[in-house]
Amino acid sequence: MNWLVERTKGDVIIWIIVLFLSLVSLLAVYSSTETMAYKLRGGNFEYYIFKHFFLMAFGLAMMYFAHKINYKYYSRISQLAIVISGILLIITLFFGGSVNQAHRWLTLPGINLSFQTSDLAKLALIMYTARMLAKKQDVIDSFWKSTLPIMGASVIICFLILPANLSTAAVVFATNLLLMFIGRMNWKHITLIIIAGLFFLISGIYILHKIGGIGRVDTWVNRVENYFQGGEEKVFYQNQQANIAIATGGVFGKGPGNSVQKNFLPNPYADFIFAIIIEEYGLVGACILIFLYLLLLYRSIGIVLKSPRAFGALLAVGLAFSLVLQALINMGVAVHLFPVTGLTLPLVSMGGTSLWFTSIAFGIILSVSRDIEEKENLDAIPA
Amino acid sequence: MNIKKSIVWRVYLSFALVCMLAFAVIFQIVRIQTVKGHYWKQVADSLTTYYENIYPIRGNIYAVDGSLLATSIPIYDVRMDVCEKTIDKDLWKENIDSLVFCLNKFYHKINPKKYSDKTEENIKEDLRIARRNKSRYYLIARNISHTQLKEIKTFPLLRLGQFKGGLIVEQQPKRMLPFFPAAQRTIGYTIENNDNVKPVGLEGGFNEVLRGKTGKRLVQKVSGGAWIPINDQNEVDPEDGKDIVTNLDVNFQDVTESALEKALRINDANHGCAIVMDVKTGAIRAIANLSRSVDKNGDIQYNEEYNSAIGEASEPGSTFKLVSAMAMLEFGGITPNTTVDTKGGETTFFDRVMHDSHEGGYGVINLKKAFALSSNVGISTLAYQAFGKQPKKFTDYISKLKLTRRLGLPITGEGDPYFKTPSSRDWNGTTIPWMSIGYEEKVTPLQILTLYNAVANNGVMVKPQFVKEIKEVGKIVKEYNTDILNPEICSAKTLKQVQEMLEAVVEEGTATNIKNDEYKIAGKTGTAQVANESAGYSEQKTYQASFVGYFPADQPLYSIIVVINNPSKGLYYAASVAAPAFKEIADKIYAMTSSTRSFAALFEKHDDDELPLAEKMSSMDLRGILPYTNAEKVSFDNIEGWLKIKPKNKQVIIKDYTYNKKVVPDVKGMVLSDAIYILENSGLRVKFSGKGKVSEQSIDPGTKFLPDETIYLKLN
Repeated sequence: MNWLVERTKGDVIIWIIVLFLSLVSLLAVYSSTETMAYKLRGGNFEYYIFKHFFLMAFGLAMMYFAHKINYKYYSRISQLAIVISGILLIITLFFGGSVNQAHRWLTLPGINLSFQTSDLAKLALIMYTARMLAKKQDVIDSFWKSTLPIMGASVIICFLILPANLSTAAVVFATNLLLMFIGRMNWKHITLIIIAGLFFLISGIYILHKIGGIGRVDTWVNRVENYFQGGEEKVFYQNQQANIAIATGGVFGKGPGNSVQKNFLPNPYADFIFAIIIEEYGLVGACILIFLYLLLLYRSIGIVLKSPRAFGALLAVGLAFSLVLQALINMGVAVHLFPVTGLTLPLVSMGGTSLWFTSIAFGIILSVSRDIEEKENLDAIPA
Repeated sequence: MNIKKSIVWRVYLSFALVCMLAFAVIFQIVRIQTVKGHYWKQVADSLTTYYENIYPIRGNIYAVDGSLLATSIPIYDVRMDVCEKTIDKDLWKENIDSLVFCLNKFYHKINPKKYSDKTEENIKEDLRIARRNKSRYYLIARNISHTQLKEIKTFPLLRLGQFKGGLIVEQQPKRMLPFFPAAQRTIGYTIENNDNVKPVGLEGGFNEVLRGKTGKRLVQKVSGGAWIPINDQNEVDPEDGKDIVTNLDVNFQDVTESALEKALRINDANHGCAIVMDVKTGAIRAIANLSRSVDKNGDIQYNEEYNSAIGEASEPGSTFKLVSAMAMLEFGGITPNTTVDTKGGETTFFDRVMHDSHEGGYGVINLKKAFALSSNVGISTLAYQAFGKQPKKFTDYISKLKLTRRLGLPITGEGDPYFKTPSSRDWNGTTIPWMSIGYEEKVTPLQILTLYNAVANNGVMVKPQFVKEIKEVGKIVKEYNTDILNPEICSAKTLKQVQEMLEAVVEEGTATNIKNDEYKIAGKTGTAQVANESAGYSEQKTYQASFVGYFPADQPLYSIIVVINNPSKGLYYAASVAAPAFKEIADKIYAMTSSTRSFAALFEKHDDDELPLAEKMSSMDLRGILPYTNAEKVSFDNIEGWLKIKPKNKQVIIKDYTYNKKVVPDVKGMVLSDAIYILENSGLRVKFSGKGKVSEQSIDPGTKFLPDETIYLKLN
């Protein structure tokens, strides 16, 4: 144990946040998979929690190795990763495994491991945007030299994610825009692109919906319509059940494992895990969880202040914003602030491989902070 | 430094935005808990959801040849919502007469007997009353088939569907036995999707296999009282049941049922059963149970009501003398030639008198004769002589013969056998003599048959096998092999002696009436006085006549038992009541199996390396013949459809045989009937000369031909 602690570097607070979130995850997943274990595994309650535990342990190991790598290498890796993600996204679109007409999953031949390609693309794109922004700082205001190539990558990748998973595409694009804003890109260009993008997206969906029966378009329109027209009577079944979970949870919750709504919420261990957490741990538990994510973001901002190089700063803060935004959107869905998406709660939801990509993202943030700490120590030693 | 500053303020601005989002989430939680909390708590109380079962399709039960014995088909109840809200006045007026006309015709077509009292007038009157009572659930027809439903759906009003025409259709699966109602107690029955009813017979024994797995889906009550599924996918998908293939042979079953029914009717008997068992494998080829009942017209009916063959343990009577004889020969120091004095047909053991059925007795006879004539005095005297002092030897032997316990069949409702032992409280001096002639003990007919089958099978006792294999979508997932209960029920010497004694029963004993020239029967009659269901032993004498044995005696193929309970036409001796039914079954089976026997005979004339197989044949024929060859190894790619056969030193190599209908198929090496089938199917005309297999064909394989062109075949 000591051996491991000595070799684990980077921001201690972030490590503590990681461990805390993992603990929350274990508790929430154990409780929310009870119904599934009862129905599918004949009451073998340990099956899912063990599976989740091993996936999580492996994720932590990946995080550890990712933080050991000098973050400068991630600049190079991002170039390769962005090309691979592009190719894999195209493959997934045509050959991927589908759930409800959404081709999201790709099974790696040989090792028989399936993963959602958008998870990889999300990570690769943030890394790549951070790299490009850092490189173009001298010509950052130029549309042709800076905005077009940086924005181009985001548009292509998000466009490939879009058919299967609109919400992920939107969140990834928004996160990258935020990162571009932080990276000093010309705000006029950004505004222009947002307006143009929204125009094309909405008119595109409108046309496809009118034609009817194409892919997931109808699902999206339904969800959004449902959200806006809503009213208490016509709320989606999931939101209805989630609202009940939140309302009955109260300030302090019903206590660990006492959720009733886990029996009625579809996927209580993933999309709606936050509702179950509120039901069991109350408003207090929810606030603590939100605080943990904000603290993560705050500590990442600390890295920006200390980082001597633009790439490190943008990489860390980009990934941190990506994770925290995703978390808040997931929570927003659970409390019926946003329409239903398919986003998970990073590091808390059960879900095999997406957990690993989240872990790698954490590892990269920690790698940057480790580098800064080591530099500081170096500076402290008198020459 | 300028760059860094510029980045930092942007980061803080973004952080602020994220914090706002976080507060929005918290605010929303508080809002749901306070402002709308009451509402949602109420909703929580009122929502009713439950897991609805999705029932799987129950597996089928097949006969050994693939005939369907039991299957599930959907049946329908049709009801009608006749109230004014659904069908308005004009529509009703316009259509009611034509609907009544159609219904009247329909009723008399589907079941003239049941609906004999229906007329257009009273159908119309009933409908009018139902409409006046605002019935929304008026029964039109119950338990109708899919075709009948389709017809009903074309009738006036009803063809308008549920909302305009008031049609209500309710579907449920029903278990059907399309072929053999009389094997139904063995096949069993079940009420589907009702766990409160325990299925009987094979349906019960293999319920877990047949039933499949029930799926589940979450449904919610919505306004209007309907239950709708909440999610697109089932929470647990249902898994359909597997099929079981029994060893029952539909032809044997047919023969057995009709022979049994005939015997029961002739003797006006109460009930009876008959079982046919394959000697080598123990496969049950036929099983019939019939009981007498009188229908409402006063006609006597024989229906399957109770599985007495398996479920009814009763006193076996003289058929049990086989056990006594075997035990005496084995450990009693007695030989078939040991003599005994039958003392004018009456003897006394302590205070009890033993009678022979033949008044006056047989004088001094040997064991073999006593057995053949079924002399109670003779057998019991010898048994007492052998085991009176060492009764445990006798009872131990009975348990060695597996008679004291259930056979352990996969059928629910097996009867419990009953035997006394010397340590039993009611054991006394007369127990051995009476046990030796089949009293003071109880066994089921199937147990007795199993014992006789073992004698036929060279002393190897095999368990009765009802089920051959379990199939899942046509693929075999489990096979049931022959299960040996006792590899050697007695010494070879004893076996030979009892086989001769069983033959003597038919040759010169009690059952000479079934002796015939075609083939030899070995068996034993049994006439037992049994407890009457209502009156007990004493008041009225109730007899149970049985005949159990096997044939052909020199090379046994099948063993059969026939039991007839309470024959009431004056005759009650087994020889005249049960033995003729045995012979009728045996005769017909013997005739039916003559072709396979001739294949076997054909084979015996051949050398080892030349199997009596055509070079190309259908898989069905091959499977029928293969057991009669001495092929030791069979290798194959496929065993369905047409096959190419290559016999090679006790080894048979089987390859796929396919032919193209556009060119002339290769039929060389086929038997004529197969060749004609294939050629004419392709569109050729066939002429032939000679006998045997095809040796030459006039048009070469693979060449094109004109429609209706004639091909000449030469057979060798």
